[in-house]
Amino acid sequence: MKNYEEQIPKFIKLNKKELMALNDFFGWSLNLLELKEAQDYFKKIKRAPVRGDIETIAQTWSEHCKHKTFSGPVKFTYKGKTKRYKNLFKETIVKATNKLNKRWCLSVFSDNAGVVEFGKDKKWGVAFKAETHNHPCAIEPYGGAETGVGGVVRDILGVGLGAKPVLNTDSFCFGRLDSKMKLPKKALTAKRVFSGVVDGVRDYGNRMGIPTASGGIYFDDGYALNPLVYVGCAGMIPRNKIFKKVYSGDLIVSMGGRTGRDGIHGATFSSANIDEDTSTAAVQIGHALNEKKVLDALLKARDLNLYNAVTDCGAGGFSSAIGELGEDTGARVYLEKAQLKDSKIAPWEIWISESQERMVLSVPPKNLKRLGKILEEEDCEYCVLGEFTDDKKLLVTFNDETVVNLDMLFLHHQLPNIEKPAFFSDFKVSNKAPKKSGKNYVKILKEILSHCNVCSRHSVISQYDHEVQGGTVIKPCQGKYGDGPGDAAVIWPHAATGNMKDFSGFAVSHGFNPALGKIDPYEMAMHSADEAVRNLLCVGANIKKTAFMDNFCAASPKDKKVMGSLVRASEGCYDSAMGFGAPFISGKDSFYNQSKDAKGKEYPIPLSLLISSLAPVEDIRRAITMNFKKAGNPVYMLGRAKRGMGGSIYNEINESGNNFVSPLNIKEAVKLYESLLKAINKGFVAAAHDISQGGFAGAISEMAFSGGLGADIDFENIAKEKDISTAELLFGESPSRIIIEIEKAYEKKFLQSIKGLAVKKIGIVKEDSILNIKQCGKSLLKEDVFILKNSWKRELL
Amino acid sequence: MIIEVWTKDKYAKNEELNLINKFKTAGFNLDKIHLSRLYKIESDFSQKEYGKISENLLIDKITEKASLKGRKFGSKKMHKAEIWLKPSSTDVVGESVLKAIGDIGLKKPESARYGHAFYFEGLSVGKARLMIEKVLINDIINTYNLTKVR
Repeated sequence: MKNYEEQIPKFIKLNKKELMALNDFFGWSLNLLELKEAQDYFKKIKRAPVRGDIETIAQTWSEHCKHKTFSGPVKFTYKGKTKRYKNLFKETIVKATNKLNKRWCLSVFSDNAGVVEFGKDKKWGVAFKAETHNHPCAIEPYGGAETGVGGVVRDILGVGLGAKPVLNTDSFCFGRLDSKMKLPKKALTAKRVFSGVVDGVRDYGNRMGIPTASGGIYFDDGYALNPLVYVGCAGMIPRNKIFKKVYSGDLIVSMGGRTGRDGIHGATFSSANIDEDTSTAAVQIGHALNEKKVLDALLKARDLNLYNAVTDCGAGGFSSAIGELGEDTGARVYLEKAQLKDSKIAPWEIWISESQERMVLSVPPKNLKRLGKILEEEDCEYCVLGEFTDDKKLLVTFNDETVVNLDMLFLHHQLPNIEKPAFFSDFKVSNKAPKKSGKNYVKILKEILSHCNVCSRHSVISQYDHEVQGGTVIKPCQGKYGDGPGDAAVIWPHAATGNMKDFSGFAVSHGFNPALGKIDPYEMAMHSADEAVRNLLCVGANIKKTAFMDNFCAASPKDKKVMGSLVRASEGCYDSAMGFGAPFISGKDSFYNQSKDAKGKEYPIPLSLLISSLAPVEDIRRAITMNFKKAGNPVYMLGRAKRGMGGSIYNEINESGNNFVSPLNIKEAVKLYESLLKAINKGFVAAAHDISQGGFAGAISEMAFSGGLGADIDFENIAKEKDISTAELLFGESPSRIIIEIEKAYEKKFLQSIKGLAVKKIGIVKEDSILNIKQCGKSLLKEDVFILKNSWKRELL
Repeated sequence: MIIEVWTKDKYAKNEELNLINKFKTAGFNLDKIHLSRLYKIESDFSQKEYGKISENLLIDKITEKASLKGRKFGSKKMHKAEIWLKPSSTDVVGESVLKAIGDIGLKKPESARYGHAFYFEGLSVGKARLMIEKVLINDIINTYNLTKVR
């Protein structure tokens, strides 16, 4: 066997084949162009690299750290026309944010999280970020999920000079629990991944004292080998702590966990497909209590202005954290000063280890003593690793050994990028009338309610502490029995602001529908944005100040069709942001979510886009929930029911032959939503629930059984598209619709406020527990809501 | 030294029922299963000092018991699966125990690792291994050994 270690000193003389062999052996996940660029650099400086140099380049240039696919050039071919993007991300998602130029956006795309203005006195910001931790969760679900949560919490701790986390979010995609799919030998079953991930999210969030109160779970066999684990965090930051700057002469201080061999190559791992030989060292294990110590100590030090900058040690460990902080200055690091878990660790491993719960600070030397005292009081370990310089060089040593010696300019600005081809062709779509199902509508509704993508998530949600910090005003489970499916969480962050007189809060919600993406990725992005906005609106959030976060997961970007779908979805993000006037403030992407199935064939995930959204709730005391409140109250539907069964749960259960996705009309939606927001603010609305998976019948059933009340509904006056079928009215998932319950006393005023809009009265809330849906007086569906609830109330875990 | 800790029989029903259900959903029917928590502490402590660690640190005296000699059962048909984190895996509980031993006034041990033992009967060795590998361990981070209880 070749000794690859001996090849490194010969790096500048290696041919293409030898470079790639070296790259594959060490798991750097660099492509040939990147290896050549590195080779040219070392030729230019007339020196052979050492392993630490190339490891640093591999970490810094990894997909995880540089997002080179999304931020790279793309040649997109669609309908015979070619369009070139120099930077897909900047020309779609960031472009919308720049164009909208909202003054309430305080920090966007420049830090570990986006920050928007918060509170009546505008002295605070809310930082919001979501991450994915897909690859680690596929191989070790519990540890992967724990460290995913830990990582995103550290993103919030590392935004500006540090924010205090007040909310965790979790959105997962797994293979179907009832799947008959044959798995490869080493793959874990969906059930195993699911329960491990839930345990990990629960244990980390609960132990840190952060409520986990918003998210979703989606099942599709496309995720059987590559689960998706989106974890998010929102935190409060004083407005005067949002910006940071590293100064030459500042000390590099590492605080928190010790460094070990865990998580080596986690960043480069994200640039590769998972296969059976995945290295055990890529697994990380979390330690929530250590991170809690970091949190407490950091915020104390922040409020005493003891450091100038902070960032988290995430993917790439010290190499990324110190490399990024010192990009404009330079850094000198003495690795022998690092606190280690394991004395057998090699210096380059210390440098790139992704051991958890570590933050890196830029500390003026005069403040070190005071900082040290605070850290010791909190039982939080720390060490001084070196200092930030002014030579724009990254020099890392271990005693007398040079581990890394690179120019910051090269490291951060010379990543070569190849133009990626992207191709998209429209999916074959049929919009004929849905085929009649042999089943009656009650049976179909029960099947929909018990479908794994609609049924109760109570057995998962109830494991999370969503009450800690005492600020979760609107909880994930709502209604008379505390188990109804809420649309969004509302947080009153008084525990962070200390202000009990300001009733300002914020709402967080999500939109996600990969089933639509299989048909039309552009509409998937539009519908997901629409769903996220509607969910915010359903709790009474001020949607005029909605901030979006994009979170893409896809298969290999080397496949031009994957890239084509990505471009279409990005264009959908741009149009939806512009249409809703809602800027993206942060985002994340994860590629290479594919692996070999039992037959050795590549098995990619479907393109998946989670749009998370955040908006202020001006007065949390006026926030509303989704369950019916009072018999006798009228029920209205906001929006027009449109044709199309594409991507619906109905189609999964009864293939209707119609896979048309009704396009989103944003202008119409915005008018409707703004009128509803006014009505909610005036106290006219008792309950609101968006129509999404499961269609109208699913949504109204949830409102009814969550309130323990029935309803008499008639479709006669419903706003609808011409020629729409009964099945589409009941179970279609066309966008921009919300069912609302109006306080009877305010009905007249409500009617005046919605004049001229597609908002129609469809029925009344009833005392008895019967849901009766009629069409022109003829009953289509009649059932006791508690029987419907029994269908819905499946325990997933 | 391995200190074994388990929930007293009268409080263990929920814990055991949850495990039985977990195995059942994975296709393994077991009537009985018992769970212990294992703490492997490397030090030259005396028996009395190990006793102090288990009494003062590792158990809730009302609901749990501990033994330095292993748990005893009447049945000889029983299997014991001992599961540990690999030495290369970070052991969060072990780290906490290591520090806490120092905090109760004893010298800090060389190492402390945390594991589990599952006792069950009614499966062949082959089936038991399959069950352990399918439900209990992830060979990326765990090691295990399966023995007959004597």
